[in-house]
Amino acid sequence: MQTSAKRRVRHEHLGLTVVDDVGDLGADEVVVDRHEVPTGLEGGEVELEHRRAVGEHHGDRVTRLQAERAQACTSRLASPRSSPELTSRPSGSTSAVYVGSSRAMAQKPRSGIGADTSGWLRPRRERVLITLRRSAGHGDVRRREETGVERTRERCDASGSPASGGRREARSSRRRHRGGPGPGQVRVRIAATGVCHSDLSGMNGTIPIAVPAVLGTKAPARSSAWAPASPASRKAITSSSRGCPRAATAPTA
Amino acid sequence: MRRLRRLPEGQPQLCLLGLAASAVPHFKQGDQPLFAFAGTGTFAEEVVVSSQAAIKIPDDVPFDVASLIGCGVTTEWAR
Repeated sequence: MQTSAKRRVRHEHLGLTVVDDVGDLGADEVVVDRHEVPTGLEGGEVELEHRRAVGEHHGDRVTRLQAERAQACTSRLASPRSSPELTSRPSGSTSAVYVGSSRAMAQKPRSGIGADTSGWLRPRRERVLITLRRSAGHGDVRRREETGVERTRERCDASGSPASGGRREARSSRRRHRGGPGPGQVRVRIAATGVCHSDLSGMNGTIPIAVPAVLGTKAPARSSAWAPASPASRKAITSSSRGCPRAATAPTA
Repeated sequence: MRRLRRLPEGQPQLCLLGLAASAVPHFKQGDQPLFAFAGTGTFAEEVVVSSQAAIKIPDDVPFDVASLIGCGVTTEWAR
């Protein structure tokens, strides 16, 4: 892992709390899960790199099972580092913190996806649910910016000083990685996005996917750059059609 | 792959090469490559997709309405 990938957010910035109530999430609560409990975590620290949102909007329901497991995990994270359980991957003795369906994630890809793809479909690890409670008045990041892996990363980069220009630096840093569009490709700027059940399935392991990944399969967008010789359009919807090279149809009407 | 060559033109839904696009990382976090779910990863701010995966929508369709067009409205295959 890169050094930046191990950056952590300290307790006062994004604190751990125990889920003591099963029900709707509060406006300042999110439930996240992780592929595994990172080793060497100090009490009250969270590795945002491993963060995956499960439910983070006001009104999302948390099941009793999720809450119990979040509770168990939180107490584990809050325990001193000398705890032998924290120095290794969770074993069978701590299975209470596992998500029930996680075992199925390690199974081989389902039939129908294609045998040749099994190499890049990484088996999912056991996942752990924890609950984070943002500090009250923590207004440096709007709620809509809490979704998505890239945005989480930005926030992680800016964790040291939430009100500083850290996020802007992270953004410009990311833009340096912009590539394409190559021949037959188009770069689009997402204007809105829907959440498909496929996204949930990819998140909970029902659909095995290569990770880490940015979810989302379709969204209306404005085209920002077309490759030469591509038809011009300024409003489009991206689709998971993935672009078969032999498709004969043109992308625009 | 041999089977793909027999596909008739204009049926991308039968093409496994498109699915293979999900196996190539589309994003980076620092040096960490990130995959794009279904080869799109539209939860990002910007994505690069195949031009065949960018379907033109009318100018008078609001973005928030168009965002509801999902698998159930198979955009590129139902045109």
